[in-house]
Amino acid sequence: MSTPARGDDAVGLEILRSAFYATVRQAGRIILRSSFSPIIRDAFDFCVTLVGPIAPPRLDLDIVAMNESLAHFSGVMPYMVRNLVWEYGVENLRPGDLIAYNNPFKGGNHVYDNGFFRPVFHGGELIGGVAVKAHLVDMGGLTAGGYSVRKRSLFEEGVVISGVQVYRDDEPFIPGFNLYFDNSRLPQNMLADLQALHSAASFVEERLLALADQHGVETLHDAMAYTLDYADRSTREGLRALPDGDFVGEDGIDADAYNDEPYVIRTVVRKRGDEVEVDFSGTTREAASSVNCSVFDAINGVFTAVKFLCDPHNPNNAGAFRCVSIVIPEGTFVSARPPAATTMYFDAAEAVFNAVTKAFLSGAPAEAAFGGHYSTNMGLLITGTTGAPSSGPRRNLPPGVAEQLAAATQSVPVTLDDPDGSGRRLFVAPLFALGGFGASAAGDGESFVSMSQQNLMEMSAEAIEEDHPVMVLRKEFATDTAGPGEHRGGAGVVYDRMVVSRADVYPLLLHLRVLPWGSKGAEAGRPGGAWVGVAGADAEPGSAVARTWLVARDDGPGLEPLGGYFDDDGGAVAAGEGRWVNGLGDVDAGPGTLVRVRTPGAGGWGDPHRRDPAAVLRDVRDGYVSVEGARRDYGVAVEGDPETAPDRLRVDEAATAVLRNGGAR
Amino acid sequence: MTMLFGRPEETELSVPRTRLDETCPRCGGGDVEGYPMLDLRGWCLVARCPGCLHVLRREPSPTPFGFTYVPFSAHLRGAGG
Repeated sequence: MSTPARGDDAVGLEILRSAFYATVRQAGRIILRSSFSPIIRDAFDFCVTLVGPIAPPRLDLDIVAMNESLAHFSGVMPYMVRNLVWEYGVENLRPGDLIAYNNPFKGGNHVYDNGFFRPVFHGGELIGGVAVKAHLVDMGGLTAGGYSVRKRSLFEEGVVISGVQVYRDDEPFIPGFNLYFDNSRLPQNMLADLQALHSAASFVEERLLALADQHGVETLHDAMAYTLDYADRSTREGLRALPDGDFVGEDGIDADAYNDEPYVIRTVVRKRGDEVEVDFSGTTREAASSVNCSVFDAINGVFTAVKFLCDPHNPNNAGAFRCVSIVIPEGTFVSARPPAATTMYFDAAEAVFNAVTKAFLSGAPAEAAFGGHYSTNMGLLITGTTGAPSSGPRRNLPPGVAEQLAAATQSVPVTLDDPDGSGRRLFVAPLFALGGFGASAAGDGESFVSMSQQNLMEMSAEAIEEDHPVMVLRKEFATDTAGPGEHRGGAGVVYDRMVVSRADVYPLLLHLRVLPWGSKGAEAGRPGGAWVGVAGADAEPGSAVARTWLVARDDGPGLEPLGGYFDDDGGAVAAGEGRWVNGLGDVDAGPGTLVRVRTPGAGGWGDPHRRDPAAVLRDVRDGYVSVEGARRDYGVAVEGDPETAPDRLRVDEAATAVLRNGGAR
Repeated sequence: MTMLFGRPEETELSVPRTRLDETCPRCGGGDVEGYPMLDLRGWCLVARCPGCLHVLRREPSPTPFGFTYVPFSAHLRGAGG
């Protein structure tokens, strides 16, 4: 056995700090391996945190260590844990409890994000705890799968749980489980996911007790305080490197489902030394539908922006957030009060992140700036029932096993409890969209990444098609969408998805009015948009219809604008330059209906006319920029045809010199 | 569409700050203000200097959920559950 650490031993404390992070990361892998919901597996929509004891002022249920998963969760966990214990009563905590808490106004995020707290006792003393959180796909409510912008209150979103045991004495507590089973359309997923979360919490508890046995409780708590102080110092050091001042930043979301008016976040970031206060005065009131977020999600948007800008490499915990405070009126759409609906909290919270980032960048040297990332999720929820079998043999399993696996993992083909025994099955397909990140002094922005506060990995087209009556016809970078600059932004992505049986499509398009910003003389990212195409009544939803959609242009016949700004022909244009179409109406989609979503491009960095012509030539060859776009946006004359002879493309240097020295852009 | 629950009538909301007749002990500034604030420790009322962000006083809100939101379970506190 190794020598126990002491509270005054820096090396020993550092070993324990590493042990805390190793523990939550290992527990995170348990959830990834054993949960069934793809939103956990593919979107990292969960977190594991180690919680300190109640020992103020040094320690007070602080989040000592958190794994790297969903940043939306990182800063709401401190509030969730403290509020849960305040409401549940510390005197009521018992060893072996796992207590559920998903009320957005008590612990942040939406009702699908279920938090669980396990107190950890050592010799009868509460020495800390474990808090985990994960998105559970269906909590009841109006919409199978949850995602919709049209819900008007919390009561339409799903079952709300504020402190109910799901494990008691480390055994399943049936009434707690039944809250999930009886209110969800997908109880198979619930069972596996809850068990996975319990396993993770139990693992962290086991490790915490082992560390307490080895090093002693006092040293353990010294190490927790050390770990929090470490993150505090590290963030403040980064913050001190930025200039002091009052900085203004705005962002927002497009509308709610019943009021076609922009929702604007106005921030004044007051930065003094290693402290920052963000005042949200002037922000728009609560929305009438589910595009709000709680104040805990708003402050997390500030936390993550500060962490992202000042200390991106140090592992995360609540110590990193000590330097932040916010001043915010209760009742805005980012400080909504119950019973406002918050299903789309992540888009509102992302707009907070954007507003604060813009404010900081307005005071930073141009060399430190970067362009805006693509947008928010630009997602669709497609749901319905189908009598069709899975599209192919699932992983070569016998039919019965395949059906069980399908039911548990995804779409979930789950047999509905229908009285006529028709055998139709429910499917739920939340399909998000990725895009580009902004360019910086270091280079071009990355393409095909998740939004800032998420670690989304996208499901493969094959998995989507096997599990759902949906065909993915197209997923590719869109030419001339990246924000032009000396370094260009990441490219937008166009998705074509066709339903092959009747379905409800819920568009989640909330960030088309605000373009991703350009920095240091670069241009903003090009606008995104969404379109819908309806197949003829007699069309078979097979390859013939698919072929018509594959050749359909945004501004051509067959496709109608669904969300964004459009010119008279239906092509996407920049905000204010065309007709606005609010993309928040549900689509009753018949077989063969196509939904096209194109994410905006990300913002560039630096004057586009300073971009190396060889880089522009490479972009033309790779399809990021067209020959016309090279001339128009970068002042580079490219000769040749990238479609038929990409290896023979060349830059006309003389023509480029003319273009860049005052010639036509 | 019927809306069962209202929302603020003002389209944009702001936090009023009360000017306090106090001097900041850290920087000597005379613009100390009082207002509600949220930080990692929760909702509170502060007396704070805008010049250096020094907090002169901090009074926690009665519940951790905000000044205007008191969960119904608060009625059960101290009543034996």
